[in-house]
Amino acid sequence: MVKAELDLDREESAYLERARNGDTLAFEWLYRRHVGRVYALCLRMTAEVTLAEECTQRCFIRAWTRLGDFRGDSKLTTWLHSIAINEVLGARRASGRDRAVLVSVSDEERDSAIVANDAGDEMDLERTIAKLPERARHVFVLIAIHGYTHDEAGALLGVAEGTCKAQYHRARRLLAERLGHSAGESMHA
Amino acid sequence: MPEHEDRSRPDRLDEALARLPQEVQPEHDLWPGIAAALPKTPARRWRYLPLVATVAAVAFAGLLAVQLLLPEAQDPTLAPTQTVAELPAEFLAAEAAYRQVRAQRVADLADQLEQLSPETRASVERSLDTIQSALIELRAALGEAPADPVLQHLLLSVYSQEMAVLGQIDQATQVVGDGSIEI
Repeated sequence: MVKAELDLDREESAYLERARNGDTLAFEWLYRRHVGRVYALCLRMTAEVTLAEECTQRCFIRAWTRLGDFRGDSKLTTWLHSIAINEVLGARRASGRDRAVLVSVSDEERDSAIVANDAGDEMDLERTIAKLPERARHVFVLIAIHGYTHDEAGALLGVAEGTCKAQYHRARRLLAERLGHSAGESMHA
Repeated sequence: MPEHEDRSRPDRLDEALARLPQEVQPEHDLWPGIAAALPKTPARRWRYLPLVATVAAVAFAGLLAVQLLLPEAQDPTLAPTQTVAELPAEFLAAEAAYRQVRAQRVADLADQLEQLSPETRASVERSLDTIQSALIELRAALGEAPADPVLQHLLLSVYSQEMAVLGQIDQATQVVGDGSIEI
């Protein structure tokens, strides 16, 4: 990454400093700035609105208690993402739902959650990603949508890089198959 | 569908993926729930952990030096704490006062160290080095956050530790000079 990309902008640094000193208003500013990216990741990883909202809330609560650990070596978004991913994985383990989301959530329920802000091809794509097997979806969301490398995604998810690559290619293959059958015309016209 | 059947598909898929929004706003405002759950303890308590550890190391080093110089000292850690409490509220004034006293004591330090046994001298010099390293570290941190009261307090604590060690060196070498105590 370019060093400049790692530098926090001055305004965010100021709010971060205030939040570290216990200023909740400053922390709310940081929340408003980053909640969209955190929630997007949680929603795509969980494919459930309620769980995504819970994980997003837990992410920011945990971030508050750990703000002193953030030294600006990475972007604040990346740091928040790492916390959010842990919350998603932890929530799955805690609820015993560490299986494909298809078991507990209906297609209709999941679709309405994922596509609320999308339309057209993006809607089809979001729906199809949400229906991927959970582990493959986690890897794919991190790499294909949020721009992490295989190495980074593997570290964040606690899996080997090779496993990460295998799940990623599995996800791509499944997406190609499913989009070809259900939304291929609009996606690939 | 196998990839070789449609080589354009991966590119189209990547293009579609690139159009997906990086941000999605939750349907509900999650902040009230977060704000209600935030621990009251400020997050900053962890921030100072490395510096507090540094100061603790300095305190240990100072204690070691003082014990080597004056084994009869009842509780040498009390003096620095009291000194900090007595310092003026304005940090700069406190630092100026420290520098003035320090300059007086450092002027004779080399001669005083010469009077100590090699073993004691080595230990005291290591303690002073530890204190100097801590001062440099804290000054750098304070340079980034000059108004930080916790950093100011930590720096004054280390100043006090250094003053305690220098003071004990001064006393010990005077005693040695009189021939009353063998170190």
